[in-house]
Amino acid sequence: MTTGSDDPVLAGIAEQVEKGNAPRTKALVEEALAGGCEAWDVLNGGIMPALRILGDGLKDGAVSLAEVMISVGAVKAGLSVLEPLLVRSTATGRDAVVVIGTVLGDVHSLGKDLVVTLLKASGFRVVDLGADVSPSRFVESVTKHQAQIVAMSGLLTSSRLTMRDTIAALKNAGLRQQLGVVVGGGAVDRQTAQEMGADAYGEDAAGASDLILRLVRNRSG
Amino acid sequence: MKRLENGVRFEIYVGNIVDCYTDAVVIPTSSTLEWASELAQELTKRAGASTLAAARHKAPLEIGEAVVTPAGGMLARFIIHVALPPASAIQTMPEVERRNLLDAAMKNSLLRCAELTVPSVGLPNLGRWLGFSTAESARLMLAALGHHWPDECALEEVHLVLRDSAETAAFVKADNGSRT
Repeated sequence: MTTGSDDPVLAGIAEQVEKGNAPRTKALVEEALAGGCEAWDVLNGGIMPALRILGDGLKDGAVSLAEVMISVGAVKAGLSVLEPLLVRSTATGRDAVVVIGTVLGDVHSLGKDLVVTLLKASGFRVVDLGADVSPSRFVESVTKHQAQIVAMSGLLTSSRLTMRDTIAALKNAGLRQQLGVVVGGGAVDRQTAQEMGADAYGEDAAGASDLILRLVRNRSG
Repeated sequence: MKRLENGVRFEIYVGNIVDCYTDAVVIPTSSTLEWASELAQELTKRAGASTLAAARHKAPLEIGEAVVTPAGGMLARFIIHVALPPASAIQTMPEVERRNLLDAAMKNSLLRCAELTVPSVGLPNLGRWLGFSTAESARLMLAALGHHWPDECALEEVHLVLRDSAETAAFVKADNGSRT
């Protein structure tokens, strides 16, 4: 356990998320709240550090995809307790509508699913289009839901092209100016995100909420 | 092939739960993550000893609770281990308590499926493990599938894996009865 929280309950939450123990994670989240911890502190001090470690482990090959999926399950169990409290304490900008999906030709949705969970927990209104989403579906959904943010995810290298096509489709539909566009996933890095005309690059799921909040606030001036 | 009331595909098979070809399978265990001897042998053969050793790190579990581990060499990707009392304790346990336990086991297994966002799960006859007759187990398990379906759940298929044709007949009868 290397998350390093001084609070033993928060450290315990991090440990159980890493182990992928959903019932224990949920019980410890309840214990932390009962002990006077704020919901945001539980999220930032218990859950997020574990997610960062898991994300690094996945990149290094030290943790398998199945183990990460199990840990994400534990995060969801913890968030089922935290979510109502987090939404109540939302800050300005967190009520923005985010349309999110894994782009056409790519069905890898684990990272995207985690981002969806964390964005919802942070108070954003999230429209999850799932995986293999065409540019036209992104355009339709942005129009329908009057979204402020489009978030695209992809793991395959070919997804870069589809992301570029989607940004072009948003531009052609006259929607690009009013939108913040975020891209993330293994298919992209900061440089490719910039080259394809995205406004921001989401490096990991844990930072997605803050990244989108900054983008919403910057765009609303 | 049938569908549950929520439109989810529902299949009944005769076979062994450890051979079930779904994304996740529910496997009964104890609070200390020890499996009944025959099941332990089959799991060791299919999933691998290291998978079971890793699972034991998640002990202890409350009775009725469920935890997930990778499924090693099994056809499924995940094992949902649900903790049930030992046979000796079940014999003296009041029926209402056993019903509550079955309810909790079903609820927690479905919750784990929802958290994993898996599209299919294999379930054994959990009621049998809790000492219910096949007919009663069928009625209770089918009812629990209806009552405890999670709000956000990606499950599209539930496979019920039964031991023999007698169990299958009882579940089919209970399923037909619940629809009339």
